[in-house]
Amino acid sequence: MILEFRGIDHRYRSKESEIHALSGIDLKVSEGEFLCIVGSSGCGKTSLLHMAAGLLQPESGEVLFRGKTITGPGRDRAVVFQESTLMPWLNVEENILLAMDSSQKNDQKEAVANALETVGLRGFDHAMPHELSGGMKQKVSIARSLVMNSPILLMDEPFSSLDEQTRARLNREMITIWEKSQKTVIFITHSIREALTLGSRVVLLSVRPGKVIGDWDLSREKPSVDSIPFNTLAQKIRGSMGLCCPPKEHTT
Amino acid sequence: MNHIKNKTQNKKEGQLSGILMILLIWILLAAYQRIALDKPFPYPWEAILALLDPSQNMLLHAGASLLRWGSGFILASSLGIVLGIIMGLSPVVERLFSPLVTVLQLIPGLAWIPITMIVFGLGNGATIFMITVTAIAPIIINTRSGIQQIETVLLQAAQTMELSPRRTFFRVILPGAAPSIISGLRTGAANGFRVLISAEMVVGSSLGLGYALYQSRWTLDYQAAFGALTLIIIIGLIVERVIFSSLDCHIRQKRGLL
Ligand SMILES: Nc1ncnc2c1ncn2[C@@H]1O[C@H](COP(=O)(O)OP(=O)(O)OP(=O)(O)O)[C@@H](O)[C@H]1O
Ligand SMILES: [Mg+2]
Repeated sequence: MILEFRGIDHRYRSKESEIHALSGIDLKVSEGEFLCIVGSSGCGKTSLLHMAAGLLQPESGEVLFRGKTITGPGRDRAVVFQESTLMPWLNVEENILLAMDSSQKNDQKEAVANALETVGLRGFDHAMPHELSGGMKQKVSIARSLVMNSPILLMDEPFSSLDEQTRARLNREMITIWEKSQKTVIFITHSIREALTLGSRVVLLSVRPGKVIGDWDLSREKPSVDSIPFNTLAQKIRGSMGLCCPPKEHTT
Repeated sequence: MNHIKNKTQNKKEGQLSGILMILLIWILLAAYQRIALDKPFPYPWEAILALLDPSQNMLLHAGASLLRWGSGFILASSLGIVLGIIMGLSPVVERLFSPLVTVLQLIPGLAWIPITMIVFGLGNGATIFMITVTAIAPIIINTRSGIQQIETVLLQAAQTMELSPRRTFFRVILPGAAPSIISGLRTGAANGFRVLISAEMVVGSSLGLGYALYQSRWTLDYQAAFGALTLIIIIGLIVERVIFSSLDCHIRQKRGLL
């Protein structure tokens, strides 16, 4: 067990309103798993991931990393955020170097080159973030998280702002990276298709409050993309999300 | 890249024609005053000649002014940036100093004269003090808001990478706030520059452009006065348009904001 969510409950309070974001989340993530968390917008996916990252303390419950309660962010849990978090004033190389431990001094350049190679951006060391497309920026973010050598990768809809083709390509590359690196990945998405393409396990969250309402293990028998079993499963998940029924705004 | 170059070139051409415009208005005004009203209004070239006349000591005056302005500005920048950073990072310090900064911002430069006279009397110290107090408010305010406006996700990213406080400051916070800090320095420098000339008129002694300008009332040496004015404008233009503008441009260009 690398990560465990235990009885997570979380509300956001403001003067006028209170949003019950997450409720009774119990989730165990095994080493080496590629866990995709699906759910519609606003169901608390980012909140959940930020708890694992240590950026958000749950109101009640706890998140454990290898048996220890998470109290803050740490280099053992690399994060790829929903939006680009590259420093706009640093070039690609400097951005990646930023994530590197100062103890790895001698082979830093090589590690940067390797990471860029892995995400298919060789030779872009000196490009500035604004000179890159959205997809390339996310690739650099992934490269940056790879050099942290963390056992787990927390990814918050990293490809949601990209076009269909780029997304499909990055999905393939993501699978390669995961297979090569043996890392555990928690990947958040609101695309069922993406979740089924990537995940060795898919977890479905409901909306307000966010609860686990489905959990599919695909590690033993992974349907190939767009095959009949793939589409049947996708249909089933869509059904559990209530997408066949009233629009999501009205679900409470 | 090409169109960025064109843009800066256009900007330079625009500035040049702007300066020509100032000269043209001056010449027309002088010609009218002289020919129609028979008043001793100097032409630009006469002012420049008076400026270069060694007996007028204009360059000496200019040097003295520049030195005061530089000292006041450096003092204001170092204090202002440090205080702005602390206020931007710590809500407690911000609440503590916020009213003071507002007050500093509200007081017009010349209103400092009584306090200045009591504490510093006349001379260098007095002028430098007035420059510092009028330049510091925009520097503090812009530095503070520059730091507060850094995107939360960038700070969160820094946290997840466990950057040391030092690296967080120098690689994330300071560069993030830099454009705002520079705009604060620009306003501060301009404020300081304006008050420099008036301060020298009142609390200055024996040397300085403001002092020379004021003296021309008695000596009726209008050409020297215009020379002093021209020099003041040229120095101001150089600092604002050449130094700050290119610094700002450099930063923005690097981030693709141009
Ligand atoms: N800082 C906050 N203050 C108040 N409410 C918040 C805050 N952050 C999130 N929320 C609310 O909590 C709920 C869950 O937000 P969260 O960002 O975790 O959802 P999400 O599943 O990541 O959504 P999306 O798919 O749009 O990214 C939302 O309804 C949101 O309005
Ligand atoms: Mg989100």
